[in-house]
Amino acid sequence: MWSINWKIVLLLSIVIPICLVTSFKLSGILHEPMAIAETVVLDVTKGEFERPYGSTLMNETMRVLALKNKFQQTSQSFLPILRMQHHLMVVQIS
Amino acid sequence: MNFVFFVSFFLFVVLFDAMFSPSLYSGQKLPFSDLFSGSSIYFAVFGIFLSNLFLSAFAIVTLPGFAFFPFSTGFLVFRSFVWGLLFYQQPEWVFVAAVPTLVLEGEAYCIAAVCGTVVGASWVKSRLVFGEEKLTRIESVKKALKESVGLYVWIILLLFVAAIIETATLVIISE
Repeated sequence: MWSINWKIVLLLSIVIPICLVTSFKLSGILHEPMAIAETVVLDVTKGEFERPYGSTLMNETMRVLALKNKFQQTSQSFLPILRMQHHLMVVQIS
Repeated sequence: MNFVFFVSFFLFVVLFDAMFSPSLYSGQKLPFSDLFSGSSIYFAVFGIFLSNLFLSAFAIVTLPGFAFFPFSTGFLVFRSFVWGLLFYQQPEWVFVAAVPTLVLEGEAYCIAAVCGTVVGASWVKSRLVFGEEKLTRIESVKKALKESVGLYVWIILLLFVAAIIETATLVIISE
C-alpha cells in the first residue's frame, strides 16, 4: 500500500533544508553581516574604577563605561577576561 | 542521519541568526590565493582531504560510536552546530559558494555516523542491526565492520571530491 522510496527520502532530506537555508539567506530573512563603511577614530577617554574582585569580564565593564561616557561602542568589540593585578585600574579607550 | 544533520544545520543557522547580532564584515580579502598557489594547491587538497577523513569523519564521528552507538549521532549534531555557527555570519555569496562543499562533506559525515552507529549497536545487540539473523556478538561486529569498510569507500570518494571543491572555492572567494 505505502511503499517508501528511501532514495527520494534521502534526497529530500538534503535538498529541503539546504534550499530553505539558502533561500532564507538570499531573501534577506537571515541577516547579512554589517559592512564597515568607514573607520572613525574617537577621542581618547579615560575612566578609573576600583579593582573588582577576582576575574572580570572586560567587555561588559567597557560597555558600562562607554554608556556612561555617551559614545557608542559596537557589540562586536571584544576584550578577553583579565585578572587584574592592580588595586586601581585605568582604562583608556580610543 | 541525513535528516538529523541537515535539518539541525538549518535550525542552528536560523537560531544563531536570531540569537546573535550580525557580525562585522570588513570586505578584506582572505590570503588563500597566495597560500594555495602553484604546487601547494595539491598539498591543500590532500591536507583538507586527510584531515576531514581521519580527524573529522573517523576520529570525531565514527570512533565514538564504536564505544556507545548514540555518540555518532551526537557528534554529528555537534558538527552541524559548529557549521551553523560558522555559516550564519557569512555574506550570502560566500554562503552560496560553500553549499556544494557543505552538501558533499555533510553527506560523508552522515555515512560516517551510520558506520559508527552500526558497529556500536552490533556489539550491544546483534538483533538491533541484523534483525532475525542468528549471529554471535563477535560475528555481528565482524559483519558490521565489513559493511562499514564498504561505506568508507563512499566516504573517501565524497571527501576527496569535497576537498577539491573546497580548495577551489577558497581560491575563488579570496580573489
